[in-house]
Amino acid sequence: MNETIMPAVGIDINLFWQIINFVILIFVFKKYFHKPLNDFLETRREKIAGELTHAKKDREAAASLNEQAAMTRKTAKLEANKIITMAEKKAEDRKEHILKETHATREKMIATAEADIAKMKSQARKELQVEATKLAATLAEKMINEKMNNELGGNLLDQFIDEVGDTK
Amino acid sequence: MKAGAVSILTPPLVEGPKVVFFIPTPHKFSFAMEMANGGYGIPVTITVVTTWVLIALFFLFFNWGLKNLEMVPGKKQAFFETLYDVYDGLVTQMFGRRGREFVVYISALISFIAISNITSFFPIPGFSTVNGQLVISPLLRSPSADINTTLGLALITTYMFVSMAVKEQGIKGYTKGLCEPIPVMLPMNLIGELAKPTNISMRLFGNAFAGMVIMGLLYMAAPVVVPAPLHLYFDLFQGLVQSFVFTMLTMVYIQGSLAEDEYRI
Repeated sequence: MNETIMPAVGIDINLFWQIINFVILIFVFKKYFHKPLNDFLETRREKIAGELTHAKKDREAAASLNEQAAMTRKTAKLEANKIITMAEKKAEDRKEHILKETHATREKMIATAEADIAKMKSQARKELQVEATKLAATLAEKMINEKMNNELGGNLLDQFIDEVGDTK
Repeated sequence: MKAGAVSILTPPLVEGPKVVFFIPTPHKFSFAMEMANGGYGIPVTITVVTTWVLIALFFLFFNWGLKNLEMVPGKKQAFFETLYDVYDGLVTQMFGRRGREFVVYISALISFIAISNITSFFPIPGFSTVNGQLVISPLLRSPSADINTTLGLALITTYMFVSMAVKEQGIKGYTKGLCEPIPVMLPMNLIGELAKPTNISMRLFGNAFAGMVIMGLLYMAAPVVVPAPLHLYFDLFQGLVQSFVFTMLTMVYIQGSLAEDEYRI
């Protein structure tokens, strides 16, 4: 087989072949390299952008929730403080009240006790009077029984007076 | 190099692209060549076939790499995304927010030139028999070592920057731009415009072809060990640098035809 060799440097029909070939190559690059990659990278770009927006929204929501939680905590703390203050005040009031009541009861008890004492005193006096009267009657009876002896009568009288003084 | 019935072809010194097959035509067109059987046909050279192979490889590579894209990328997907970012960064640096219009063209350009330059670094052996002898030679030929490829790319670039200039300034504005600063300068400016595609196409072709010639010389002088490290320089390094240079110049030309304030970030 004899090979046909074209001239080493010469412009021929292959120029058109090569131009057509290169146009086909551009088409291959456009359709099978650039378009798929370009579309894909665009999809990825959109996806990442979407996720970033989503993440930003989530972060904002989290921040707002955090703020809310902080506010709630603050309110709760204030409420608790208020409750404690109120409880303290109530307790103080109650203490005052109890103390007052106790004081009143004590006064009352003291008054009652004093009244009782006075009553008992007057009763004792009455009883003593009765006793003294009885004793005087008994003495009179004894004096009458022992009238023969004056001296003795005088002693008995002294003795009676002493006894009465002691009782009183 | 011949070893018994097998002959291994080292890269030739100066050889044009060989014709792989003809597309038969009923009449003789200006570009049609006479075939062995006496008919006429449009030649399809190894350069074109290599380009088809490269296009098929790109197609398969993208299909394999971008099949199941996931939100959390694996190594494979990360590689493709990085590649995309590199191209995107390149055009954004140059064109600002207008980079999107050119990113497909620029990425196809730089990828194609880089891969076609390093094609000869990874030779696929081709087997054929000549006069009953098995011949092993590189199957593919670097498409950028053919003036038709580089000129084709340069013409597309020219179309891009001229059409962009006409779109931006209108046909009147563009013509007026060519007559600046004084109408006498029109031929000069036209030559300047024509120099742009010539510049980039000749630069790339010259580098790729010269690399091939030098490698051919080296294979002739010292066929076994010496050329190996030089392949690294001429095919890999030079190839990548030239692809970058071609693309950068293309971007500079296109940028030059854009209205000043529009591509600034």
